[in-house]
Amino acid sequence: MINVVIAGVGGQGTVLASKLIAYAAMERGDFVRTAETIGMAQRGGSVLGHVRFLTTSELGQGKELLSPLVPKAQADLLIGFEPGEAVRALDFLRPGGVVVVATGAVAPVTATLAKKSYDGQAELAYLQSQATSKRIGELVMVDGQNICETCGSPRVLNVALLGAAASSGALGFSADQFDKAIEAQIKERFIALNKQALRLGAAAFTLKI
Amino acid sequence: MAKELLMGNQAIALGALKAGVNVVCGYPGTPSTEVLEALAARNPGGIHVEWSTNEKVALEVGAGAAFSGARALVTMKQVGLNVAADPLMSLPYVGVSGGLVLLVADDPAPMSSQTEQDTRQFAQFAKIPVLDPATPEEACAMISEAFELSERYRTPVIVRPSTRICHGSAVFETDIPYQPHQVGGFERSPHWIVLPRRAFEGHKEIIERLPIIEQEFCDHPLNAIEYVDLPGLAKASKITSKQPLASASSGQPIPRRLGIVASGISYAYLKDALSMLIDETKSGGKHGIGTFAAIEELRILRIATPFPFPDQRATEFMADLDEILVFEELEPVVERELLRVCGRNHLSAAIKGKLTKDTTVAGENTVNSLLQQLSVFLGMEDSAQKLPATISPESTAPELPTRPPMFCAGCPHRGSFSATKRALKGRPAVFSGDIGCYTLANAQPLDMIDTCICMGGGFTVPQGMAWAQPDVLHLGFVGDSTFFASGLTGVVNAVYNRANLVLVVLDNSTTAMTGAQPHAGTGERMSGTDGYSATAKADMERDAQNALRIPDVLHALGIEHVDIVDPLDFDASVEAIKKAVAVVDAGNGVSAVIFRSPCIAVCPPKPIPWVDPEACTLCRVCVNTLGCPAISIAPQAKTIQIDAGLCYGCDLCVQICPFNAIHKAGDSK
Ligand code: SF4
Ligand code: SF4
Repeated sequence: MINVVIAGVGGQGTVLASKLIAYAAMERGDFVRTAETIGMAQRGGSVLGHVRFLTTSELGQGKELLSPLVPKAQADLLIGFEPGEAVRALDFLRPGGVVVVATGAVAPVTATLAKKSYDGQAELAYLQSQATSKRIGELVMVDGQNICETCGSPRVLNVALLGAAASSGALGFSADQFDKAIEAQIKERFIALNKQALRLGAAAFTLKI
Repeated sequence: MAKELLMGNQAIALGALKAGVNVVCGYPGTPSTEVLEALAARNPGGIHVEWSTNEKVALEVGAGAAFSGARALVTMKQVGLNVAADPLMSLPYVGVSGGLVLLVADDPAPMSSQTEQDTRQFAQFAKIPVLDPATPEEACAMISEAFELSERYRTPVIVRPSTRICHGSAVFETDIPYQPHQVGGFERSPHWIVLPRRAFEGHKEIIERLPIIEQEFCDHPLNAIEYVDLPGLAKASKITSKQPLASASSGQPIPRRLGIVASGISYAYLKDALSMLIDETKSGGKHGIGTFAAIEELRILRIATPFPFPDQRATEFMADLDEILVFEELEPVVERELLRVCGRNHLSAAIKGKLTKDTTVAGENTVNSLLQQLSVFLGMEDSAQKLPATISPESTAPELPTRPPMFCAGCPHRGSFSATKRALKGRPAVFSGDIGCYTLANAQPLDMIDTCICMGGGFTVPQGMAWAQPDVLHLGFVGDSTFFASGLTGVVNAVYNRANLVLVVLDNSTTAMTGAQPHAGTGERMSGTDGYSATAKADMERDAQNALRIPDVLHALGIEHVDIVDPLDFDASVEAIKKAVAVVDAGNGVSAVIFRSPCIAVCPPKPIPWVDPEACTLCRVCVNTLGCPAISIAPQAKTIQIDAGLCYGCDLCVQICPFNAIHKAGDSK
């Protein structure tokens, strides 16, 4: 079973990200369950997406999966769309799991009002310390802003993060597995753009090594 | 076969298509909204789909269709059922001739609701059968089942999914041919008229049919008893007689016969949690939680039909059990039913659940909460921390900023509220709010909504406040969809009773909070124009442009002072509020302001303004007045910055800045 938790801010495209993971897994015949945050929190609040899948061989062994939510400490992969939200959702990660995080911070109005400049640096440093102590098995930091600028759209952060997540190996499939899902789920004129972001995200992972 | 990943709500729509539904109506409400949207999107033609004015209207329209022999699905969220309670209570008395199914979505640990009410309890109160799915697959299948039940027993039937089912996705075969249900037609009969005498007979009919439905539910395949093969069970096989295995005097704990009962999504959590616990003990308890203590038998009862409650099945399940733990969300509905069945049948099982505080009393259940409560119940060493090994937050973790929901960047409500605040500067006033995105004006820095209880309350609560406290200024805020849903009667009341207050309509041309649905004020409809004559089609297109106009409605209802203003024009908005307040101050009764500008979900973004770093003094007026999420303080810099990915180009900040440091796109200094 693979458990993925996606943590971000309402409006960042987390819902599409979990849908794409679910589609890619479904394509290979896996049994899939997802859960989304829909409603008030989508107005700039913290949002979580959950994706769980059982492979065909696990299904063959009679394994079952009913709950759409990933239990705490069971996520193999945590995708953080923003450093603070990655830290907030860290208790979902199993010890030694993979964290893929976008380095760009989204400052909440509460911080701006409280005259605190929030840039996510302390949160990234904390994640790094957790990687050093091996509670995070692998930490992948993605400069999403840079990828978005290269692609010329602020809306491709989600797909870039998926590229990095796939090349980390945590999903059990490669970034290419997302191509079909992107074609099926994204408007025609944005497909090329998203595929470019996917590849740049995948490359960001290799760069890290 | 085409396979698609469908959200529970879309799967429910698929279930309705499979059932050949003829009429679908509802009012938007998280987490139920996508059911009707998916039906409109997948309408093969021939299904009438409508957003009704409110839930009461929807249920009555659906009832009428079912009186005529159609299959009608009515969708709403749990609090919507409160609005529909009037027809709901009478419908079981009157009965239906076609099928009438209510899809009512509950919202535990309210993500978007004002109560944690339980629709299963409402079903008990209204004496309407209710089906309770545990997965999107079951929710889909239950729609056909509900229609059949409804037709077989001439009763409305409720299907009650909860948020995690509505918004959880699974894979479905989607190319199912739509076979419309054959509509029998309306037949005159005295039973359609609920006169007092008929009500008495209707009540007897309900009392007669419920035990028959209960019998059917006792054999329902989902109300199943399962025997759990726990590793190290004192005796793993099915126990039939109740013989103590060890004597109390031997000092050994007496093995217990245990039962677990689950309803709704909690059943899914239970299955997942139990397999995790069993895996854990099989792997030798690597987290050190030990093994199950002295259990002779463990069985599970799933309750998929909470009302009428399958008494006989529950009796059979509980007959020789010592202890039972009940997992359900919201109210202890199943737990109370089990207590009743135990009492009736003189059973001695100890029932544990919400009433005994052995399970979560309010909010959501989770696999983690079940793991903890199960391990206590099963006599494993208390393992809250040990299982599963969570990464507990460390003291080194940075303190994270809170992130409450708020108006989107570019939201016109930001203009309406900040202008109102500016217009009333320093003057004591109470701002009564209503249900919709605009409740978020409560957040900092606007800090403005003072009351919010229900749909329509934004216009009526301030009337009472004004009678109680006439020396304070009262303003009531209601959105455009809410205005038509529940606001009109409040306006009539204010005019009729000569209340002294300002009514503010926040008209953003959509039902925004639930994801942008049309309403009477936008004119757009959910069903296509197939089957209409060319003239009717032309009429409908014209209607879409000439939707019901809120200012005309307010005038017609007797309000003389009605001002319409664009909330993105800050100064004009301040003026409009001042003028409306002057009417009230002069003792001339109700005045109204309509702030009209579309929600960003239904209009394209405009070019974004730019900040002149030399002019910005970091006075924070923009931040403290507007609280726009696109504006933040530039790190290391001495200016504000605008996030190009978030900004929608409303230009409110341009108008607010006292130092002329923010400029419209394309403008020079
Ligand atoms: S124009 Fe200013 S107030 Fe409007 S969305 Fe952009 S940054 Fe926010
Ligand atoms: S942009 Fe204007 S209002 Fe905002 S901090 Fe700078 S000077 Fe003040």
